Amino acid sequence: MSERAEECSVVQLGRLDYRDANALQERVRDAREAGRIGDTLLLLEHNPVYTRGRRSSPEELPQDAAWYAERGIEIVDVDRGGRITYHAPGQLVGYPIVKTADVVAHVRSLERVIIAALASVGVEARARVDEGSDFTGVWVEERKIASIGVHLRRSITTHGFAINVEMDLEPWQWIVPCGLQAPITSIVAETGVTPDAEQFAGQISAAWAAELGAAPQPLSPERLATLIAPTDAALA
Amino acid sequence: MPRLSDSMEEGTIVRWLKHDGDEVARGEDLVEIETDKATMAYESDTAGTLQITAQEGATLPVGAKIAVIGDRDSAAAEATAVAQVEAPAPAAAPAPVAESVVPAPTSEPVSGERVKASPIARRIAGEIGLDLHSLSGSGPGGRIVKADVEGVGSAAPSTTTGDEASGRGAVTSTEPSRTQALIARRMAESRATVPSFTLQISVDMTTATTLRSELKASASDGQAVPTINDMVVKACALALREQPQANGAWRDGHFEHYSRVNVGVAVAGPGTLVVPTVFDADTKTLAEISAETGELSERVRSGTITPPQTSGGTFTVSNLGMFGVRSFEAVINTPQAAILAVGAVEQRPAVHDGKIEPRMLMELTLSCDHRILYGADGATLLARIKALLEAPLSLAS
Repeated sequence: MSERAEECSVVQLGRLDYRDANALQERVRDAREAGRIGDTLLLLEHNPVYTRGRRSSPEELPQDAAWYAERGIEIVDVDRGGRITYHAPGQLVGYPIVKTADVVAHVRSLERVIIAALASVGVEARARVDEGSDFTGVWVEERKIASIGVHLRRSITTHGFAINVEMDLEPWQWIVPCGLQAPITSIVAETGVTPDAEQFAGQISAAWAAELGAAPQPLSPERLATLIAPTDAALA
Repeated sequence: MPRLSDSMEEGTIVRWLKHDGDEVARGEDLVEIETDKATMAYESDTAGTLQITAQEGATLPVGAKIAVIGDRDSAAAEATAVAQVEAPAPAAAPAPVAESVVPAPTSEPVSGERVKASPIARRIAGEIGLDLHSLSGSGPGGRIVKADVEGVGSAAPSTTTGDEASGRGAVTSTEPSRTQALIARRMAESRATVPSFTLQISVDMTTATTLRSELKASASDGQAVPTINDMVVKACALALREQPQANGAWRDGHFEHYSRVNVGVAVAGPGTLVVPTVFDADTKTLAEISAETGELSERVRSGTITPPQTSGGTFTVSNLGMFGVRSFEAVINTPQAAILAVGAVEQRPAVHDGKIEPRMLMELTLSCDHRILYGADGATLLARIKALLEAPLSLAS
């Protein structure tokens, strides 16, 4: 393991198309596996997209693709757990690329991270671990505020979480999210206040690093690009 | 089924990354397993020919056999043997020679068909000695969840106290199941927040009843005949298609109108109330609606109804006629604009063609959300439903 693997970095990427973000996280994953970087949290936003997990079923999208395309929403199939979900601007997406032996423990830790960050903006949220895997995620009473879907390969995680901050919730009505008909909410819907984006990202980063027992180190996208470049980067 | 986590009790085969019969090397990704919204690519710990015994979508306990990796000859021989058996259960596959089972042999005996249940429900059932086969689940796909198991536990009263304080005898306090709690919340929300009004109308069902008797007489054995309720569903769907403002919802201060007419049918299940949806009811024939409502009701009763089958409704029909109830007012299924309460078809004296005659009458009560559906609109809808039911051949198309 390289020295860097002890670090825990946070990269703010801004808004990215889903496919581009996906390609990027795969490269970060490979770099993490090779030990070129340590545990890394990618924070970003997506353009409007429905993503279908491995176990998505056709009923989750009651309309045809053209109907959603008219409304500016793309549909993408991905290799994560869970079923259909929706991403759009106004939602904070986090891809923690970390090494772990226990993927479910990783999911549980993400729930704790999100609950802690939400508390800092005045939203009292909870996990529903005892109610089965359809209730994975973070909830305000019976309303879902954050979704989680994770993939683990060779002990490295990809994908992660999505927290509804101030997004338009209407497109959630056009699908049956996560195989479960649950009401969806957001921070703004709960509090009426838009949290400072940078501060909230900071709360997420701090809570995430605390779970790993480290302090979060900001890493610029440019620096990340050089670290994960598949060149003859010196391996420790 | 490999253990992906200390807390994992079962996993679902999401996707095989290798095909049946492929040669696999040690360390190659074999299969993706899912538990708790996490998928994991599982690597082969040995080399050989892969023979898959658990198909994609199967949910199995940790330790159950999902595949065999052996040498080519024995795997091929077994594959042939298996091919002669129709859809072999994993446990029924013959034990091959010269193999390594992926992963270790099962630690939990699998008896009969595997029941879908959450890990916590499984644990509680184990603790109180409950057979999961005896339950029907209220979770997605009929999955048994915590509430179902606890619901059984609470059939025995959760707390019983003496009558000294209340004078009402022994008091039994029971926790509602998750569904029951949801119903309680949504009903209270509807009554507290929806400014509703009701409209009533009598429908002469004499022709419809005669038509139904004729259909019954000409139906072959076992052939389903549409019920009165199926006719009501179809009539509502056609009327809603003609009057789109009723096929909508008041949601967060906006009017929503829907392009599809999806009629929900309230069905009582054991200790619960479920509203399965007949999608695009306006484009379906009476026979199709009848077959669908029959199947959906059966699914409600057996607890195998899935969330997609209860979502997407744009209007609801509730029928208590089978209990002899003449008329009643239903609680609006928010955020929908209206709900129709259907009473019994009864023979009563009525004026028909200037004479008093015994006629088959049925009372309909439409509850409307006045924020989106006004009096005249509601009345037009109700009158149209009546007209369609009184000329039932219009429903036969």
